[in-house]
Amino acid sequence: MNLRKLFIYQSHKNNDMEQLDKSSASLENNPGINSYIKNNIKDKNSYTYKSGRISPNLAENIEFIRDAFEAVKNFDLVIREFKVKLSDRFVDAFLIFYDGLANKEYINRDILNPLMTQGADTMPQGSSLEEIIYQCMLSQAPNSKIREMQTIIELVGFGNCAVFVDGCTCAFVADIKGWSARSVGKPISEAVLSGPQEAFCETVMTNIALIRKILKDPNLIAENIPIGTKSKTPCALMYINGVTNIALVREAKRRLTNLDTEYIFSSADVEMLIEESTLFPLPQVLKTERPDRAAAQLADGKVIIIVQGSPFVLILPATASDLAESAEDNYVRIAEANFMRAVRLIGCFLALFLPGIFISVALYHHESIPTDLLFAIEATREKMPFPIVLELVIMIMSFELIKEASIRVPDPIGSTLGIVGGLILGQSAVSAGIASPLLIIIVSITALGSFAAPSVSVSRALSVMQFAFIFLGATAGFTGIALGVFLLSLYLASSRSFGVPYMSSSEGSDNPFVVSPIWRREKRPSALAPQRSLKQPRISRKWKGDA
Amino acid sequence: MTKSPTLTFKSLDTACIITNLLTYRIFTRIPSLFPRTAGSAAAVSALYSAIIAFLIIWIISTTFCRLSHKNILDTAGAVFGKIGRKLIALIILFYLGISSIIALGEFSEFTKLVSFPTAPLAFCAIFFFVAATLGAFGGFNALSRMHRLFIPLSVSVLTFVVISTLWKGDLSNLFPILGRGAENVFGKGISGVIMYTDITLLFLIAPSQNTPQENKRTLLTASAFSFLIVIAVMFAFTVRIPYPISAEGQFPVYLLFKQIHYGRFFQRIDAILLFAATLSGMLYLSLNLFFFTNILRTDFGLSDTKPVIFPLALAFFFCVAGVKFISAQTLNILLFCTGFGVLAASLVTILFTKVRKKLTNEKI
Repeated sequence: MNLRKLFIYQSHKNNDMEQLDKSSASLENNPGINSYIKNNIKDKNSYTYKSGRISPNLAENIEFIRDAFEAVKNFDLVIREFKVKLSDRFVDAFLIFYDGLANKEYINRDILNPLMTQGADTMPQGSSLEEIIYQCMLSQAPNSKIREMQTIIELVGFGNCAVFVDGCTCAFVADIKGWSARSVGKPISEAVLSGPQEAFCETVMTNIALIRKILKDPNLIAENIPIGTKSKTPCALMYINGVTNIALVREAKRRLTNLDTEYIFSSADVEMLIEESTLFPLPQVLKTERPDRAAAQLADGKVIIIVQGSPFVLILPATASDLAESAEDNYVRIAEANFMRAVRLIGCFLALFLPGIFISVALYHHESIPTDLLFAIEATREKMPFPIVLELVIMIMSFELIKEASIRVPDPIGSTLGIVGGLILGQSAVSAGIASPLLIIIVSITALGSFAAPSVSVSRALSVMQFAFIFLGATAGFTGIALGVFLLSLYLASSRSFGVPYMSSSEGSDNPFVVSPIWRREKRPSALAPQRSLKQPRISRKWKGDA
Repeated sequence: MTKSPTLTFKSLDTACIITNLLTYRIFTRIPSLFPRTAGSAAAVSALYSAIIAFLIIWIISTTFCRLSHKNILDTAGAVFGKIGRKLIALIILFYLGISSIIALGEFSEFTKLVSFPTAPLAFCAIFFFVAATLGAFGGFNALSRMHRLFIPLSVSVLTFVVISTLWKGDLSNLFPILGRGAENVFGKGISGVIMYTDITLLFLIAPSQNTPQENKRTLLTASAFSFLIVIAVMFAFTVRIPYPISAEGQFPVYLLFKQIHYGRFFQRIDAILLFAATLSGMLYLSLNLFFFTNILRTDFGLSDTKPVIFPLALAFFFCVAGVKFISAQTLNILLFCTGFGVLAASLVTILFTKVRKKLTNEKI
């Protein structure tokens, strides 16, 4: 028997050994409440203090709760004492909830009203008080009996209401969350012309429901993994049992359960905490606000993580092929989808390389462009005071300023900003002889290219990386650009996302250059090594054979 | 059934590596090498040496691909014992070292010629040095994926050169058909086989691949495709650049590229060639450096390859850009000797394996 057990044993001489073992196990398995109680609770002789469990003595519980929740300082904490009306007597009780987090209407209607006024006319023979209250009196549907104080603290902090009754060694916790939350709205960063117009919101349960609504698969698993030692932010790890690679699920779970941080605020925090490399230029985890895209990725054998409080769902693993995809690809005709993908890829190419190539041509490879064009460029640059590299960097930074400012300003001023930034600044820069017209065109095309990127994170990554290519182009022309391409590719090729090579080639449907029709997407991406690689037989349009 | 999400070595990766190993010298020396010995029969000579090289590859691969996933050094060890294995490893190391120095020098010269005529050679070499060092650090899997990405580009550029120059060629440049004589074409022309010695590098990685049949099919198809490219470039070069000019140019493909005329806008598109050649060279040097350090690890007791990569690359760099204690001619002779040594050693190993298998019915 260790010292902790001995201490509990001496304090609870009247309790039997079974309870002692339970109490001790509870303490040992609950490091959170251990340290919490040690630091905060004053009455160190109480049962709750020693065991971490609810005492049958209501006064002891209320004292503990007041200390644990700092009831004196927290004005939004509601502790309501009342009496439960039974057929033959009244029993003392209290409930606790946070005003604003729990729904008061439900509390009055489904908890206080039945307990205080209705009572139980006939008691089932031999039933304990716990069973009578739980089975006959509380009408709130998501209701559970909890015995550990730490769990109750967490649940109340997440909008639940806990009812303590004298003589009961459990609390009745009702799930009556009632905080203000945004409803399901339209996607903003992944808007499509055709296709569903639903987007994820900040509530994890709603987001899970949005995906379940699409897949309707009983094998779809949603595991709850709270993250944050203090915030206990609910995160749902979702995958399809029998499809997703078990090793991938295990790896995702291992990373999530091994995060030792106090608070989690959004999915971006989780993304940064679980990704392989922080300095990697491109996203290693996909983010989407579209339930249809998340569902499609689940069907391909990927894993998704939904974080409470974030409308962006994380999809893992991410490979270079995934970055070329857009939600719109699945909702337009194939020729159109392929054309749009080609345009997007060209846009990405321009956003990354055009400024560097321009610098290379202007500084080192004059012979690469026709003489007439070269003369035209030189003529426009004749009176320019700055070196061409500085001129380009100034103009790109100006554009980045406009882009950043346009996100911050209110919508009505947005168009004004566009006019001031784009038209006046560009025109004035040329008139003042600070920038050449050709350079303005180069910067504009680069900007348009970056906007064509399928996701905002890719667009930003391209904007950052283009400076490296400007530097390399300015240093060594096309040789420098080739070195940059080599090193970037090497970095991408030697990186992995959750064990899957970032530049893995797949035999499935994720060719980065081509969108195939749905009847050709028979296989799941082979790089994911899914448990079932076939999504559909080779001939999925059986009606064609009948004709 | 649960599978782990690991990459299997894809046939496309192997094919791309083979293509680069057999074609990277097109950018630097192959097209002008054959006219020097064969004159106007350069294309015939190239075809002849390609056929011999293909036969050698076929002989090696036929036995090698059945050797239950053993590389050439493991096989040498099984046939000749430890000393034989070390000797062959040493020959391959010498070849890799000399080939790396020559390739680094040639690609740096090429870059200097196209981009920086006034810059010192060291400035151009430094880019290849950086790429090779980091590429070798990246490891074989990363390099194989990069081959898949860039070699199609390199092949496209070469195809573009061939198509763009061939239709303006003069077929009379092919005559006399035996150029400087049959002895030069078929006798001295055999030395052209050494240009393809790098293919033996692939026998150092065979155990990573899938089934023996798949290995062999990939190896032979990719080799045939690469030889087709070499012969096509050689043919285009011969019909477009008449002998003896064709034997003089330092970077023949660059010379060929200068012949392309697609109107005023596209008249100067050398940059594309520079880009493809640079990437091809960087990939080759990275792979060479990787194999060099890998042989040091497997056969000479090196525990970790990473600390050796940088000093080794630096040594190659100084051989090219620093004090030139070996002349280019000596290097070429050494390349010929070691290349011949590597090919001979590989062939002997394979033939001995075959004989021993037949005699003893032993599984090697």
